[in-house]
Amino acid sequence: CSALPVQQKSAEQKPVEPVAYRVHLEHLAAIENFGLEGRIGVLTETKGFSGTMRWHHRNDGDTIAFYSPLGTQLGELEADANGVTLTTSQKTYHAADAETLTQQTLGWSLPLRGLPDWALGRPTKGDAEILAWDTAGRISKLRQQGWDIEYPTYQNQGFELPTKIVLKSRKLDLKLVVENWHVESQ
Amino acid sequence: DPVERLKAFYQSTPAMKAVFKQTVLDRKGQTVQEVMGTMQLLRPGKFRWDYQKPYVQIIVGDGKKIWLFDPELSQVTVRSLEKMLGSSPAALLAGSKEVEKAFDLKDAGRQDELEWVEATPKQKDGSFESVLLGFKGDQLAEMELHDSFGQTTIIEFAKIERNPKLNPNTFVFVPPRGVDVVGE
Repeated sequence: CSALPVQQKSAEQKPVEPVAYRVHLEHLAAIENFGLEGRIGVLTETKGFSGTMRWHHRNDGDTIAFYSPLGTQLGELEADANGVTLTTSQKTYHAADAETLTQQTLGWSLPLRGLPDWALGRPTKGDAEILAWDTAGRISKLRQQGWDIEYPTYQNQGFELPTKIVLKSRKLDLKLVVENWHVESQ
Repeated sequence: DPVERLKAFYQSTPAMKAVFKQTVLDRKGQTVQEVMGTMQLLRPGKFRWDYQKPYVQIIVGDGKKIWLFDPELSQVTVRSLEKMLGSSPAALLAGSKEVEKAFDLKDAGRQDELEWVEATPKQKDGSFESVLLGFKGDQLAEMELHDSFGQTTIIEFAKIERNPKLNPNTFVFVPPRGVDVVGE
């Protein structure tokens, strides 16, 4: 899974940040907690998985459940201030963070630290390079922390939120198709 | 007895086609997913589940491998059938010699006019703890999956065609070009 063939932008040709983007970001800032149901595709050099995912993100933690196509639950990840637990049909695993835990148990590392922001269609903390916006001021290409992230489609659920999210890094590709968003805003 | 009932189903239905509705209930019994599609099976070991609404997903068992294709994710996941046998209810339905080796069968009595058989995978690594097959005589009408998180998947079959003429390449899966294929 190579990184995106993105042409290198020299400094002066930096994309100009549309005003609509500022408005879009302020709008997203009202989002407190969110939930989403969708399908996730995981792809590494040697292994892969695709199934349904239900994710509830609160500012004090995350609950993510994974399901087979037949609806049977495969695992549940619970992350909060004092660490992360992954429960599968056989065992329970624990580690300090989701990145380490998923790498140890599933062989691929879920970037949970940045994922909530990336899922909403915005950069997470730290420096990021926004490569392209769409005409409505929403991000279509973003590069951050070794991830090339693309947002081919959006949907409106009171907020402009991504429907399809493609995250590519050197070792892992993640694809998310969101069927339903549940947003709790101030 | 349950083994006989399942065998009667296998013998009387070398092939089957039906529409299905899959309803997933969480541990509190709330519906969390409803998906519809069509299924076909051809003994031994061949099956095809076309999920159509609300999203498209295709699962094909070609007798050797199980192919899972999600067009929106543009991803195909391939697994070997016999390794997956203990965790694939579709493979249980398609029935092959190994089935009885992979499952313990138990009579689960009569309920809403169906005779139920419970199949528990012998290997405990599967994604479900038990499958209940509901028969009307020797015809399968309903299937229920229980996973280890307390969730239940109910699959109801309708418009059931017994021994339809099925096109053999229904059970052959060729990944479309440009799609990520992963797994054995």
